[in-house]
Amino acid sequence: MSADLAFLAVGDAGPPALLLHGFGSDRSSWRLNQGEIGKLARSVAVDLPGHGKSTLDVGDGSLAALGRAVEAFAERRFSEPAHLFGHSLGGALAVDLAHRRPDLVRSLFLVAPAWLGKRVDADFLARYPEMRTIEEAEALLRGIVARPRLVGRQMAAAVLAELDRPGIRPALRKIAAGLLHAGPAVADAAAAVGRTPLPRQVVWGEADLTRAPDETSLGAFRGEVKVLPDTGHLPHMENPAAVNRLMRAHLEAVG
Amino acid sequence: MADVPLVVPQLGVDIEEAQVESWLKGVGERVAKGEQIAMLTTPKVNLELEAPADGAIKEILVPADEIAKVGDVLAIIAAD
Repeated sequence: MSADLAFLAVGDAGPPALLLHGFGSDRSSWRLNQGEIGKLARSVAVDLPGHGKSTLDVGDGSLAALGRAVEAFAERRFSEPAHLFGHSLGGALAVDLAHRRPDLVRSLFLVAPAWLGKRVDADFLARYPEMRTIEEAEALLRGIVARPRLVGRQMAAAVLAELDRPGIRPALRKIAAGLLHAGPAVADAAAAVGRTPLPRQVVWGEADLTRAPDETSLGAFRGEVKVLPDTGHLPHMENPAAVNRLMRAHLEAVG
Repeated sequence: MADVPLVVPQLGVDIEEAQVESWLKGVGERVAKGEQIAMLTTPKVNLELEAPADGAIKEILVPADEIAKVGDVLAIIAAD
């Protein structure tokens, strides 16, 4: 798997920050946030393997395989530890990297991180790579936000166009299977990180019921958890003003 | 009373325009500062726009389905 992940860099001063998106998304999922992060950090939002403009070679699709790609990218790109911002799948990858390579990580800011919740949404992971119509895409995506109007036809059409690129659907099927089996590994990594002084913040949407926070995992992780009202699984897109305030406060506090 | 414009905000990195997907309030209707009054859509993200002041919608300059650029005035609020 190539470590040459596609990315968008915003900000030219401050410590480095690495932004890791969720399953099926790409670096643009941070577009309402990266401008704010970029005021305080040299931010880099990547396309994970199997997504966007990055390689579609995802190896066996496991979290470990994606984690190795993220590790190689961070190692090559940054000369000092980076703040990690991770959403859902990206949150699990951030925890994994903080556990395996603490020397690369300055802090964690996790948005609805996968497997720090009670479960991941197996139905969503199974159906996402198989969507064929705009109506299907709209319905599936509306199921993960608190206010369905936040998912429009343009967005659904763009998701379908991306899925129809050769190689995307098989890559996502592999990643979905890998993520489904990653629970124990993420829980172990979170507990190990919880025993360290690494600064960390977790943000959750109150309406993200299918992925409600798991008190046991989060307790072991010992991160501060902020729950946002009227918000689903995409807090950074559904409630960007509140999440941006938390991101700014986190960066200012950690430095 | 002052007229307060509702402007297309910065939509984030590399988004310069958006489509007005719908108006949640119409001309003449009362709005409260912070109340969501319009939906913008782009291929990557939908965004709710909040009323910039208490008052009433005096004029809608960009109707639903039309495209607006960052900084464009979408509507005028006659503020209390």
